[in-house]
Amino acid sequence: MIHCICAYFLEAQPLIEHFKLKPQTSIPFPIFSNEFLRIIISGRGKISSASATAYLGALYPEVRCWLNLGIAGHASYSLGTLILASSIQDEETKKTHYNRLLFSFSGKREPIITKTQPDTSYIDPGVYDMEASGFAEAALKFTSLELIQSVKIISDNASNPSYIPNKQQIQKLYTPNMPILEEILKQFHKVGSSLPEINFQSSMLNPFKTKYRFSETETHRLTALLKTFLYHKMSLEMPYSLLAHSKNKKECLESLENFVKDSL
Amino acid sequence: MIDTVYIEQAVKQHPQTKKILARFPQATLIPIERYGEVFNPKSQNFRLQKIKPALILAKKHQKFVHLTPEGYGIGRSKNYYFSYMYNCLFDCRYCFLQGLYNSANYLVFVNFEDFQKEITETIQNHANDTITFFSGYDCDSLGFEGYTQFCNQFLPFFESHPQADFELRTKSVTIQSLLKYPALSNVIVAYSLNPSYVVNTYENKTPRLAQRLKAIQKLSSLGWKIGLRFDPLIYIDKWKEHYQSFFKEVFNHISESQIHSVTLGSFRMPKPIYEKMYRLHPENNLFTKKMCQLGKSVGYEISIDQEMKLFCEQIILQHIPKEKYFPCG
Repeated sequence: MIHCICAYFLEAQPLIEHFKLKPQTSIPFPIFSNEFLRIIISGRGKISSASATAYLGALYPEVRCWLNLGIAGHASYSLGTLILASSIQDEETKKTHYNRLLFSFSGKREPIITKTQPDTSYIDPGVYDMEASGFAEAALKFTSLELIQSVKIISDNASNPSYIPNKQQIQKLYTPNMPILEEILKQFHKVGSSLPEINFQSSMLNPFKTKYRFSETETHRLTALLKTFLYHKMSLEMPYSLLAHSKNKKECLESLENFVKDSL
Repeated sequence: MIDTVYIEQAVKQHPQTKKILARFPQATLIPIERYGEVFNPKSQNFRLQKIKPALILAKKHQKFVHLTPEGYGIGRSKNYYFSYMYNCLFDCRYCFLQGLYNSANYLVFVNFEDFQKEITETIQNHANDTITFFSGYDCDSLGFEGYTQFCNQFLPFFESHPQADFELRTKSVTIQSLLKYPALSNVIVAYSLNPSYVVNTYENKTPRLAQRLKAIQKLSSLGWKIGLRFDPLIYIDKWKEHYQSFFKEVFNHISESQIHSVTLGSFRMPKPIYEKMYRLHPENNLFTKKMCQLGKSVGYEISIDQEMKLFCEQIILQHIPKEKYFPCG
């Protein structure tokens, strides 16, 4: 699953249609989703994007991949150019997040500068937007830097300043970029999925802790063993049965380790 | 292949930066002020970054040379290390580098001249001592050689400082740089070795044992002094059988006269590093073995540790004299 934050519905609409997302809620933020992608419409500005990101993160803390998608300005890039952020800087605080890209992307990467107010001066080198820094700051509470990306499609430049596209114009900007957007989402999701899914809960240790008193390193070992079971999709019935039949904690840990060794 | 290079603006024009960048013409170059902006943030995932590390080119400003931890020596009275690079091309599951830094990106300090200046001063300050410098503490000495040409700058340097020994510690078989020079009497090429099972299971992206032994043979045939580093010993099933045949294989490939030193070390590391490594790879069976906390460190249970060290030591001493043997710690 990828979480995607867009400022406006119009910016999200091409993806909603392409991925056939269903409306999920409308208050406090409109959300559209399917099994692969969940889009939230934040409204304009970095505070709104941070709020929407935090809201989504609080609802679904297990989601790893976070994307900010929207239109943006650049001094010279032609309208419709797709940019992947190399860094996101907040103009006000100067705080910068460096987005580490772990998948192949042959397109353009540029720093994004998040402005507080619309700016058509194009003096600072980079892509101008109004949401990315708020998004990144909030997303970092839920995931790591490698799983935070921002994609911008250029909708204004020095020759076309203050250009506010309507639905048709947005579609014109997005349509040629849909194959690459889809590829970015696919690869991004793959990176996020490369971390093992282990649904371990500390309460799983309780039966062991009730019976024996484990040292910290023994608890690590026990946890690692249980996680190995879960990682390989094995039921925890066997560890609990081995626990029940064990005479002491040493025997318990050894029988668990032997079982793992023999099963894999 | 590296596709992103972060460059501190202070070293943008440094000759070493230019040489390295020439090797990555397709990379996206991202200017930064200080490497810490990219390397130090906590919200990074080392495991994910290992998929595709970026390169950071930076300047080191101070503390170029450090005293080694106690017990880390190969016969000289003073032991120092210097790190021109943080992180390693390889991905060994047991390596303390897994838990040392927040980032897996390769950080290269390009101002080699400042390292050399401080090394020279250190040598001068120890005119009456024997001294060894180690370069493979925070990285693999030769792993990045193709890009940094580290040897090209440091072999001539140590050739002109024969009073100091220099250890290149590596798992790499990229030895072309060494082959360009005649064997230097004060340089030790030290190979980290483990049984094939350990290499195949825990040492990702490293040359296989047979390749390393071939490189050792080549270097020793040319007169280079070879160090053998059996550190750390890894507790695996049937470890006695694995280590016995491993030592036999290793010592069949190199004559005792070409061995400068042998070290043997335990799998033991500071607790915070161990915990970080464990959090990164909780499913790895490295962490399902019997561990214990000893002081501020975590390692195998003492009985296991001692049995392994004793067993290995006895075999090693059948092949080399005691003077060449240096147990770690």
